[in-house]
Amino acid sequence: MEQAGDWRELLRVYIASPQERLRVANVLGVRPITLARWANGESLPRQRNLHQLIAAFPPADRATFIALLERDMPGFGAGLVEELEEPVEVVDIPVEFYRRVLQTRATAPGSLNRSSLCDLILQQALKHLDPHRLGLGISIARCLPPTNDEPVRSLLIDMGRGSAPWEPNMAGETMLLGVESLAAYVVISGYLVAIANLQEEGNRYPASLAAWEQSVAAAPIAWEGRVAGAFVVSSTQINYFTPQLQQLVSDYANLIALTLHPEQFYDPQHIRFGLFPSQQEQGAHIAVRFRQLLLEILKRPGTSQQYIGVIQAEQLVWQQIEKELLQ
Amino acid sequence: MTMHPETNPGGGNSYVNDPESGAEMARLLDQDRTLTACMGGLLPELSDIEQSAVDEVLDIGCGPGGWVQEMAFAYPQMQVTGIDISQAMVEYARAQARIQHLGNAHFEVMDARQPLAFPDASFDLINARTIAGFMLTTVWPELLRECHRLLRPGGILRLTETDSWGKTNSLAFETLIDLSYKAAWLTGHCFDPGGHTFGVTPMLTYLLKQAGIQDVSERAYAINFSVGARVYKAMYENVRVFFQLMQPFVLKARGAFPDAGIPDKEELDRLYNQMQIEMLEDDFVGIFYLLTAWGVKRDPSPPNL
Repeated sequence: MEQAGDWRELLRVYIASPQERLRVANVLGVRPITLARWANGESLPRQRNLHQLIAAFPPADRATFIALLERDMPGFGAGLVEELEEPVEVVDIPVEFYRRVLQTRATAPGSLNRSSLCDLILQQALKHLDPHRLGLGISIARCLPPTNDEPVRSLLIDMGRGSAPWEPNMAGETMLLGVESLAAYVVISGYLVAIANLQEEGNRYPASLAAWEQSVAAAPIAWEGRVAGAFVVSSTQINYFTPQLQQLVSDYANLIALTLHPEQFYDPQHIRFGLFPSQQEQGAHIAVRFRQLLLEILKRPGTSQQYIGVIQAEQLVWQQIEKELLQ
Repeated sequence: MTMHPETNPGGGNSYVNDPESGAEMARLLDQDRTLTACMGGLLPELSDIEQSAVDEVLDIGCGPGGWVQEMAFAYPQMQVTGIDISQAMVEYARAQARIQHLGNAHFEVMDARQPLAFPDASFDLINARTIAGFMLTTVWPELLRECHRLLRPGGILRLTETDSWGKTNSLAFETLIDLSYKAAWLTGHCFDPGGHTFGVTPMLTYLLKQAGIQDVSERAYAINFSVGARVYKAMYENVRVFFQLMQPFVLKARGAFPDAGIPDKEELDRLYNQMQIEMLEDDFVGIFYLLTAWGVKRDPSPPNL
């Protein structure tokens, strides 16, 4: 690849594989044909696309790519190699944010409290953990309350946020997780796990990955030795989670714990995760069943028509879907 | 959609959705992302040449600063400033910029209904998106004249507004929207003489021209949030929070205008829950329309009105 005559030629080699072309296009939030047009000289990427494009290159080839870009665009790459190879500079969670979270917890209407707090924290964490917009997906996997005295059987991901290539509100990521997941492992083990390279064989931890997911970190959401779920962060970059970023993931997990009620935490001895189908299989099932079941419950004569009733109804729906999906 | 303090029925802070609330902050950040994505970017109607002439940007009514932060990231060569009346929003926006190392994003507490504390000819681009909620109809001309003063010759003033936060086939949704606009109309925020919508989009070009802005263009956007649409879930969540947070404002309007036909809390709660059910139905459809109008300051002298 070092023999490439210009940056377009290097790009052509790099995206020759359809899978790689699709992965890079997803990371940049453009169509694969757009990449081909850049490589063929039919159009020019914008500055912000170039930044992401460089980040998507294997670290070993970045300097060459930037040097070739410099020939066409003098001054473009000044300091860029150093910037991209430097670990993300990490600052602590600002005090303004703690204040905002605690104030919201104190004042938001009960019906909005949990969802608003989680939304606020996820949006903050997304920007904080991915300041260069290299691609991050973050979600809260929370223990689905069991029916009666049964143990907890699953983790529910019903809220997430992402930067490209993930969808902004991770709408397609809603699912139940069990023993097959990294999140479940973290909940049971009680400590943070970071996987530097998901493509490497021999990873000791179970993890399901999106096509563009290269590394992941997950931290337990715990309180007084009990656990409510896991905070899961996935990146498009290999080796993304430096010790400082892992600490930040852990800090956000602790902040999430502050927003939950005591009854949302479970003794690990009362958790027995089941096995759940792949995200793809679940997606089709959930897309059909979730609204159908929710409407059935909400329209049932005598159902409380308060907003809190909708939250309770959603929980009943997830408990039913859990039964249907448990393998 | 936020409301004007001076016309708040019952006095005090009159934002429809309390600007100091974290729930409103999270909702606005989500809304920013959804709107930017659905409109095709931060400045979809400006050419690369027009964008390259921009150094200093002002965003009016920036809220928690979503648009400003995205601009500062996408255009590191620009200096982007956001102003908002809410101290809490500005503090939060500054912290957000800090953790993202956005040294070119700046935030100031300022009331857009008063003269703005910037020198003449400070900006190349002034942006305002969905500010009708806190603008009295009588205040628009003053704000746009102020924008004219702040623009450099050749600078662009860009306004994006909606008349209604959605047209749907949900009776409960439509009823709640009608009641919201009735409350807004009673408090002087709607150009629509009947108070059925903000009625602001047909006014944008007129107002820009009145303020001395020339070469005005318009572009409309339609965001489909029907069941199955890409932004359905995001809009569903946004609407749920929006109507919940807005209810106190509607009830205040009911207290101030008891003969206006605004129902009591019990009925508003019933409508709210019915709306959620109707939005879950397989055949729920909804579209949200926006209009962007933008033009250029050619004449350095202030408009003669």
